[in-house]
Amino acid sequence: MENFNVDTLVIGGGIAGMQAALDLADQGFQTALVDHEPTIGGKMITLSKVFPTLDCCSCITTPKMSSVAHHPNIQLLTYCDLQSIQESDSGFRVAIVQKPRYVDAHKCTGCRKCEYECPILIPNPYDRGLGAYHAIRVPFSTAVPQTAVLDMDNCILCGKCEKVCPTQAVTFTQKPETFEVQTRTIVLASGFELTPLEAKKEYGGGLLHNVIDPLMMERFLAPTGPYGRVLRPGDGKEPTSIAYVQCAGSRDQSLGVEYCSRVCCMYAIKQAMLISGALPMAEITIYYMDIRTFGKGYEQFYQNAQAMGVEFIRGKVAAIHEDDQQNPVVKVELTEDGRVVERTHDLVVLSLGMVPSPGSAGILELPLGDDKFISVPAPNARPCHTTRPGIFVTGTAMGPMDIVDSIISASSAAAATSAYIRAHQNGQASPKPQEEAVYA
Amino acid sequence: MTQRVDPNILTELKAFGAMGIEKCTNCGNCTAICPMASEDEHFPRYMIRLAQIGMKDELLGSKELWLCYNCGDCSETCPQQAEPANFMAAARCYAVTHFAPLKIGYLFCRTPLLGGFITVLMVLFFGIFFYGERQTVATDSLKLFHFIPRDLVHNAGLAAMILIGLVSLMTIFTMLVRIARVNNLSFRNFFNGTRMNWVQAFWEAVVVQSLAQKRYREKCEPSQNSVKWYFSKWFVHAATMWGFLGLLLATALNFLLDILGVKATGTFVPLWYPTRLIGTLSGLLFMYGVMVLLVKRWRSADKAHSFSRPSDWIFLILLWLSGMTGFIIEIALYLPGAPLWGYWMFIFHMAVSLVLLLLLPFTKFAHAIYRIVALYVHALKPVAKPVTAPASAD
Repeated sequence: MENFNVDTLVIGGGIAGMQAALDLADQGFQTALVDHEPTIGGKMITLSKVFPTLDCCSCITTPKMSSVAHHPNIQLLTYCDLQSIQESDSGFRVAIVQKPRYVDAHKCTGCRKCEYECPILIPNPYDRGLGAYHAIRVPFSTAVPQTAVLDMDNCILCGKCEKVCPTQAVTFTQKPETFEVQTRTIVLASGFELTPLEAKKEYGGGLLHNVIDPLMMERFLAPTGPYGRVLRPGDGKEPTSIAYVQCAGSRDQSLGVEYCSRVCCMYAIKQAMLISGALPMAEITIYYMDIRTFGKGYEQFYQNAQAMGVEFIRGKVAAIHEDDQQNPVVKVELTEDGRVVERTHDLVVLSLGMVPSPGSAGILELPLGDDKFISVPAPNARPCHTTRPGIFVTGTAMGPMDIVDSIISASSAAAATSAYIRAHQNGQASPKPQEEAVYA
Repeated sequence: MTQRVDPNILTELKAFGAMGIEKCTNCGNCTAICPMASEDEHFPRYMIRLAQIGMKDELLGSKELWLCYNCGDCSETCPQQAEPANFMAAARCYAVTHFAPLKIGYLFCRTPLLGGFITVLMVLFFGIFFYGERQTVATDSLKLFHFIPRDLVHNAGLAAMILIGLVSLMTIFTMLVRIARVNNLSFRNFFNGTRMNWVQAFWEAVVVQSLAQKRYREKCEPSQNSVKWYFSKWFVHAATMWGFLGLLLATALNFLLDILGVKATGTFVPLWYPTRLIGTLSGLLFMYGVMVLLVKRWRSADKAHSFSRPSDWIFLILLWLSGMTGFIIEIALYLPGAPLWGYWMFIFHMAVSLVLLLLLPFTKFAHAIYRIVALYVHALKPVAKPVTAPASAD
């Protein structure tokens, strides 16, 4: 690929990155959006519904993905890794590696014939490994771009895809390609990961059959999910008793995650509501330390769930083990009654928290806060400014936040970026920075 | 019923070493992970809650304080790192100072310098006392009970035993009254026909749980790290306790033989003589236990040993000194030519042992009393439904 110049480079194609890119491109700035995945959409495209409105996630995300792909001012760079960043006179020179798709992106029409021919099935990460996809595939039906990608690690080089491809797009000899982007500004939206399911030994260390993470539950509930229904993964049984263990990956110093992840209460309540719809006979219990429903309409959402019959029990689950039918058994003190009980459920969802994605912070040489998220020195005055001028951060790269806040944060970062670009246009000196001490 | 609330109790407990307890959010993780907690006896969270809301009487009258064997699992997994295990240890120390007369326990639980100083002073006092009572030094063989007259040693020992016996009875009574009030036990149970398993509970508390350490052995190894059985918590504790009891038995038997006129105390006996053999073997076991305990505490080996109160150290060091000096005397006894240091060691040994016994109700040693009482109440259950009591006059 040729080297090119842009006004801003957005790193990360999740909801925050897409929103920032769209906001900047709409203002006429030349924007590049880079993602290491073969498709944009981030975590949000894998979710079922958003809280507190229970709107369909795909219905919000997919149009944005399309807008990004078709926007005249956005250059979409998927399946790309950042290699290095150097400061230059007019901003940053970013070296990017295009990872080989083994499919010519210009020729591929997204007809998926290769996928149907491929004999290899591998666990699908977009379904949290609950479903399978082929070694060559379009990642999922609403992926953007609709370009196939071949997983060379699992490919047996049978050549079937190459034969069936109507445009001869499959090329097994593709090599990584490095190119440079000259940009004035960078918006970092590298997102989050869940705290690992394996992290807490007391919760089975990821080895229990019917203890799952919340993104798995999202896939069970999503219309695009692997089964189209809620099953427990251990034996495919339909669960009749489902428990949520809150703060399973946050607010736990024994895990080294001291902060509250801010979304777990709400997604647990939301999933409980959706399960009530999917499995009307199921009993749903949420074990919590504190319910933190702080956003607009969130408290009402919580009360609705209570009214729907979701059982809320105050007590931190201390340990989970399995009985001989692979049913998870939680041990918890019912702190409001002062009793220690062991309760058996069919399925347990650990409400895991957010930890920063092992993203681009290292390459960008940005300092991290105590929580390991990107440090924002003046969160009250300049909420998206990092310590390096010209680099902005948004979404869950700067700390745990929900979708609503991510979008607000993305627009905020876009505004800050736009102001920065305009201030530095035509070789003008930068305006005097605001006094941080006053606002911080 | 009115409840008296003491708003200062949390501050006081912090001075006893319950650091970080204000971080507790009452999530209940500690209680749920605790291997000893059950439907009826749930702790540590409930204990922490009592302290947080100032229910001093309830806290001091909780048998649950003494059912905790400090495995450290709660501190290991506490989401807030509020160290509940450490809180329980501090609360026990707090209870010791409240049960024992004149709050002497304060000295050993809260003021390391003063506590240590007083301990040393007491050892010096008894050392000087015995030194003043010394007789001639025999040089052909070690004649310890000629050096310090036999009767003086016996009487000092007996006096100390009687004194601590009385104090212990007082403390047991104080504790029982408090526990009975909190647990709704009453002497009226004797008369209104409620049949309790009085005898069986005693057997359970003293033999099954205290001597054989059933619950400690079965439940209280920290789950976090696996250790060899000879370093396991219960074995180290059992070695110390059985060793100590063995030494006590050997001493008592010696005294008995003296009274019966079989063998005067201080007569030279070979190593395989029954009382000497019991003493030596118990002493080895005892020293092993004490040394492992000291090393664990010194290294802060695990969460359970991460914080030590002065009373923990004073107790262990006194134990170690009395055991060590005992062995040095034994070596001196079997060495030819009656080494003079054997005599000095004898004085030191007696002074240390006397102080150890005299401080029993005030240091960590006091757990030997309180745990048994708590275990007794724990084991106490009605065996049958109360028969209808005859209508009382009121």
